[in-house]
Amino acid sequence: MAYFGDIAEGLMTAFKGMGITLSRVREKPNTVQWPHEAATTKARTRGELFNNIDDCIGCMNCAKACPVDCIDIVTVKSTKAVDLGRTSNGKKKTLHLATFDIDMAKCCYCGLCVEACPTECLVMTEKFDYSTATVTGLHYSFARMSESDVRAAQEALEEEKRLAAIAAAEAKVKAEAEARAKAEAEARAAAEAAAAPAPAGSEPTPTPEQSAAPDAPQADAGTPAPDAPTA
Amino acid sequence: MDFLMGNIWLWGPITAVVIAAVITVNALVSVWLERKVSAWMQNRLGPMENGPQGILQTVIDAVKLILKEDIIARGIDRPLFKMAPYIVFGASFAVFAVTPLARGISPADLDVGVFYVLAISSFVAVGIMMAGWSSNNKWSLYGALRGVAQAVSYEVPLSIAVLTVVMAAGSMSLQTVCVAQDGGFWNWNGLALHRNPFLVGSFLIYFIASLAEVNRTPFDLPEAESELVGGYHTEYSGMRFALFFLAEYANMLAAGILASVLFLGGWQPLLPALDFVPGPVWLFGKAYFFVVVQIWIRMTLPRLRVDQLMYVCWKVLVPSALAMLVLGGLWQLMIQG
Repeated sequence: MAYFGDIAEGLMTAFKGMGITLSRVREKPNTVQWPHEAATTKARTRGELFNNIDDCIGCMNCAKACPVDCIDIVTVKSTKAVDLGRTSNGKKKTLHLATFDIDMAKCCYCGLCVEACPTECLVMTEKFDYSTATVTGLHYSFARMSESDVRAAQEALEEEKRLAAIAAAEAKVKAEAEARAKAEAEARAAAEAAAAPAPAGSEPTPTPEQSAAPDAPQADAGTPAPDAPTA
Repeated sequence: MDFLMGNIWLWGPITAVVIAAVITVNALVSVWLERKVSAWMQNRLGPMENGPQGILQTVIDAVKLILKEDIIARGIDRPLFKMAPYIVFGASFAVFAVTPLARGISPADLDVGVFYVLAISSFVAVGIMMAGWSSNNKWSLYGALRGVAQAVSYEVPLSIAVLTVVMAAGSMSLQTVCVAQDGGFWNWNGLALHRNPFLVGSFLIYFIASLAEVNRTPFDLPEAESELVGGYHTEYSGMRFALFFLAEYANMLAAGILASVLFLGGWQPLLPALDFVPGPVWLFGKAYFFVVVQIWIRMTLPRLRVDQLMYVCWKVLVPSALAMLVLGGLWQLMIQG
C-alpha cells in the first residue's frame, strides 16, 4: 500500500513545510531599512577613501600602488625657510601638496594604496553610500592649497634655486680666482726655488681644489648652502 | 435593487464595470499581498517605500506597465498574438458574472452557474495556447503546451469535486449552493463533517486542482520562470502583458471565490448572529483567505515535474475525487435519506 502511504506522506510533508514557512512570519525580519536607518557594515569594510592631508607627506607610494591610477598627486618642494612640521607618527614633511585627487569613480576598492601609505593617513572608511548624479562628483580633492598658495610655493622654490645658483656661481668664480692666485704663487715660488737650490723633503702645498671648496660658502654667509636645491 | 436586476440593459453594464474595477483592484491588492506575505515568510519586509507598508508600490508598477512599449517581434503570428491576451482576460472576466454577492444578489444567477464557470474558465487554456503558439518562441510554446495539458487534465478532478457539491445542494446555481449551507460555519460544505464528510475530501481535491487550474505553485509549470523564461507570455510586453497579469490574479481570486462559495458558504456569515455584516465582505474575506493560502503554498512547495504533475492528477486526484463522489452519493442516499 505504498500508494496510500505516498499520498499521506505527500500531504503531511506539505503541511509540515507550510508550518515552517508560517513560523517565519513571527520572526523578526533581517531587513535593515537603509537609508532610513543606519546601515550596518562589517569590520574592515572597504568603502570610500579618505586622506588625512595633515599627515600626508606626498611620498606618492599610494599613487604608484594604485592599479587603476585613480590617485593624482602633485607636490612642490618646500624651501628651507618654511617648516611644514611633522606627521603624527613623527615623519618630517618636506613637500607642499599642491594636488591630492582621488577619482572614486575609477577606484576598484582593492585597498593597495592604504597598505602602501607610510604614515597611515590614507584610509578606507566604512562609508559606501556616496553616489552622485554626475561622475565628476566622485572626483575628490584632498589638498588644501589654493592656486595662489601653489604659485607662491613654486615661486619661493624658484627664488631659492635662483639664489643658490647665484651663490654657486659666485663661489665658483671665487674658487677659480683663488686657484689662479695659488697657481701664480706656486709658479712664483717655483721660479724662486729654481733660482735658489730646492729644499730637500719639503711638503707640496695643498692643491687649489682641496682648499677652495670648503672655504667658498663661508665667503658668502647670507646665502644657503649651494647643494641644498639639488636634493 | 429588484428594478435594477430586472432590467438587463442597466444591470449588465453596471456589473461589467464593477467587475472590471474589482479585477483591477484585486490585481493591485493581490500582487501587494503576494510580495508582503512572501517577504514575511522569508524574514524580509517587502515593499515599504510607497505608501504605508508599500501599498502603493503596485499602483506605480501598473502605471509603469501601461506606459511601456508594446513590442511585437518579427516572425510571430500577429492576429493570434494580439488576440490572445484579450481571450485570456475575457474568460477570467466572464467567470465573475455568476458570483453570488449576497442572499439573492448575483450579477447573473444562472441555473447552470457551476457549469458556466467550468466552461468559461476552460477558455483560458485556449488563450494560453494561442499566446504560446503565435509567439514563435520555443519557451512560449513549451509553456503553452504545459499550460493546456495541465488545464485540461486538472479540469477532470476539479469538475468531479464540484459535482459532489452540486449533488449535495441539488442545484447548479451558485446562489442555491450558498443557501444550502445556511446556519453557521458548522454547516459549510467544507467543514460539515456531520452532514456529508466526503465533501471535506472534495474540498481538498478541489483546492489542489484549482491551484493547477490557475497555474500556481507547485503547479506553475506553464510559467516556470527558471526553465521557460516566462512561459507563454515571454514575448509579451506593456499592456498586453498587463492583461495576462490581470487575468492571472483574477483567476486566483475566481478560484478563491468558487472555493468559498462551494465549500465555505460564500456570502454566509461565520455565525447566524453576524448576519448584519454584508455578504460581499464575507465572500471576499473568504476568497482572500484562499488567495493568501495560495501564496503561502507558493512560498513553501517547490515546482513539480511534468510527469509528477500528471501522476498527481490522473492517479491520485481523479480516483479520489471519484471515490468522494460515489461515497458522498451513497452517504446522501443511505444516511440522509
